[in-house]
Amino acid sequence: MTLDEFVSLSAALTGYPAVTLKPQNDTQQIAATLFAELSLASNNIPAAQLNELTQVWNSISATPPPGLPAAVQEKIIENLAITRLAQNIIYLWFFGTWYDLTKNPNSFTSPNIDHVVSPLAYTNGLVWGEMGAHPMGYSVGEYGYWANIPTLPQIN
Amino acid sequence: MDNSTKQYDAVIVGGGWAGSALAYRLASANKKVLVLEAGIAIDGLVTNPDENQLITGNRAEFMNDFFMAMAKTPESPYVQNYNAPRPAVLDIQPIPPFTLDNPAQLPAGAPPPATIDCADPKVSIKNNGYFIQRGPVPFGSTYERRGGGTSWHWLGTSLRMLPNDFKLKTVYNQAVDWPIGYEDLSDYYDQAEFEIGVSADVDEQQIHGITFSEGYVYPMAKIPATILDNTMDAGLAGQTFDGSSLKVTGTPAGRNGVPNQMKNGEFYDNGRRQCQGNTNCTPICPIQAKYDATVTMAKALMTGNVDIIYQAVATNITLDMTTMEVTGVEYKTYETTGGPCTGTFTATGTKYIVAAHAIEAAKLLLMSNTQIPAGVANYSGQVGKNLMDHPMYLGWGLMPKPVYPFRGPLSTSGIEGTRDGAFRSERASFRIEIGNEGWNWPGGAPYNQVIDVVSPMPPDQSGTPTVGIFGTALRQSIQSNFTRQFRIGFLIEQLPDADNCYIVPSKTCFDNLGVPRPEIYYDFDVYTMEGFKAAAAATDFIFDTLGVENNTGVPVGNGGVFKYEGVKYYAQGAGHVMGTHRMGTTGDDSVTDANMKSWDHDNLYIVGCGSMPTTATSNPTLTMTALAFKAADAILQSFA
Repeated sequence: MTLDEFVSLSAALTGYPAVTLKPQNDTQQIAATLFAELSLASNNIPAAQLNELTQVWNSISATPPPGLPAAVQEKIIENLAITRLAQNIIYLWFFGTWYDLTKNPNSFTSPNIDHVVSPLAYTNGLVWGEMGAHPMGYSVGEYGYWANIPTLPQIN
Repeated sequence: MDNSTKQYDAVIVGGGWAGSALAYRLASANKKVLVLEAGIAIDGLVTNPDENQLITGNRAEFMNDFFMAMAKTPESPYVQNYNAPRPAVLDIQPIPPFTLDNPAQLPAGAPPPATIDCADPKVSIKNNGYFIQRGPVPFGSTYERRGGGTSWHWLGTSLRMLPNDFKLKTVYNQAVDWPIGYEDLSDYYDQAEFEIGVSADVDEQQIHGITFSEGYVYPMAKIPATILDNTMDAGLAGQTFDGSSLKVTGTPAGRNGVPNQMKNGEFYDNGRRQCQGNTNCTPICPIQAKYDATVTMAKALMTGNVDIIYQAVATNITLDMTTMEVTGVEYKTYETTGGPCTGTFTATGTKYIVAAHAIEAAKLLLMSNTQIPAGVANYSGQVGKNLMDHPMYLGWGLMPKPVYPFRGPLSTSGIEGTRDGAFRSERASFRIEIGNEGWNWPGGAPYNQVIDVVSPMPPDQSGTPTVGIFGTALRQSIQSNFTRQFRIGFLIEQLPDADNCYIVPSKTCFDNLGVPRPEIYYDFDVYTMEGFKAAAAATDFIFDTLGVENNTGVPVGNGGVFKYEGVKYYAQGAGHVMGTHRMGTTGDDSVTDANMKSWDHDNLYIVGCGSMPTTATSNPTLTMTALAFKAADAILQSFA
């Protein structure tokens, strides 16, 4: 999988435009940081699984937008051979974390290789902005902002 | 680091909350003070895979560790130190033979036998935690041992105690009265609120008989309420539970807001930043808008009258067996968190003040001076006894409309009407804290709920992949669910119970320095469990009134489970550890007098949350600060 393939797949999985995930002026390099997890040996990603996900994505990525979610649903999400890896890409973006592929992410069986990718990956996690908030421990608000109703991001 | 040859006016054990306040007060009056701090310096050690290397860090590096932690617990920014270990919430589990499925049924009989392999201190602490838990329920609270102590991860709540809290025996025929009343602490509360820098509104805090001096204003104006606070306030207007008002009020907080013009005409200014609403008071405020004890210790050091020795673990208080006065404090030093002891020294002074954490203070007294088998300051037999907390009951749900949690300080308002009433003759009172962090505490939010919809857990709990949602549906789910999450937490009163709740230094389990680890016996009595029962009923009532979808169930931190009248409750620790060296009116049943001077040793003071005879329901830190200032006044007078 290339970085471009990763970004376009990530856009389909997260529901965010690719340009949001990898802005033109990409000072934080989040996409590249998260993408690097896919080639991290210690993450133990079965090569066949990553290859299949890449191939499947390339086979549907040109689908016109109205039909794309249905194609992702059918070819990736409902494909038990690759869905777990696709879910991890969602977690990379929403949390900045990598979960051991061999267990359910809500299971804390140990030892496991769950980890936060980097402090920037955490503070750029999409889940916080999605709910109109900020990462816990990383606010850019001013005193008293919490009394005002936030604007939630538009969902296209 | 051998300061043993220097003679001090006062030697203070503990560079945390009470120790910093005492050092500053005494040094400001030109007394020469030595502080022995067991842990690492204020800008101390960061996570360190090689515990034989000492790496000092600062707040930004603590933040880094917090960001990188999978479980963002109160301990997550702070590295474990095997030479001055601290307990951790992840270690709180049912005590064998009890399990999550078959928890202790209370009231219980004899505690279960605990067999713990602690041959290798590091392995034992790493795998099972610092405490030797003897139950029947695990003690759920934790603390930090480092410069600034547990103030690194306190919430900031700075409520005064109620006048009736000081006279529980007189008014409700429960437990004991304090040897002082509200009126004795009122001026010290003023001073404590100034030192901490408390933001609150005087008019709003005049409840249950609390009075303020003429013209008093808090240093800073009340912290603005969150949307959740206002929603609950509107929805609960005029409502009562068990005869108590459910009015929502702002919580006094030790975090910076908008300065008030004080009585003397000047605007309050402590030089630190305004709260930025990081929603992270616990485990760490990224910008020190929240007060912590390092602020006061820095001022103490700037007087030039204070020496502090970090990585100095007090292990023995020595006595002159003729005069029964304290002659010195022996301490052990170390260089790294896992390295060997590097020396044993003795600090000497005119007065001695044990200002360590309630559990550590009791442990030190009990393991000191083997010529008195019961330990130092323990004629009453009460040292280490009466261990108390505010065991917490959590209720959580979804509001009918968005309240936008995960914004602002962790808690800005609470319900205080339930803290006092005739019911205290029968059951524990409580205050209700309103949490601004969604289901983060009870439910591991946002992680667990997102995972629930993206990778639903298969029925067999295995790692088999499952099909979940993605893309637009996921985003809609997050917006709909997380904007409505909220939780309330009940801080439940606990009575002193010398027979069932106590700590002793372990005779078989030691830390890396060879210092005994705390062995803890802990239980809830019927009074407190009736408080849990009432808290559950109050949750149902409040949620019904507000139209809340009640999701209260098994919290992620479920190790404090117990059964009462066949119902399972999940107690959380509040971190409010009290009672282990209580003050009182006679040396027969208390450890110190009202000035926190030992009944047994004229030049020994024991100061901290351990001084508190009963818990009341207010988070105890403000009261501890007031008590430290009271003790400081008494100590200064004793020099005259």
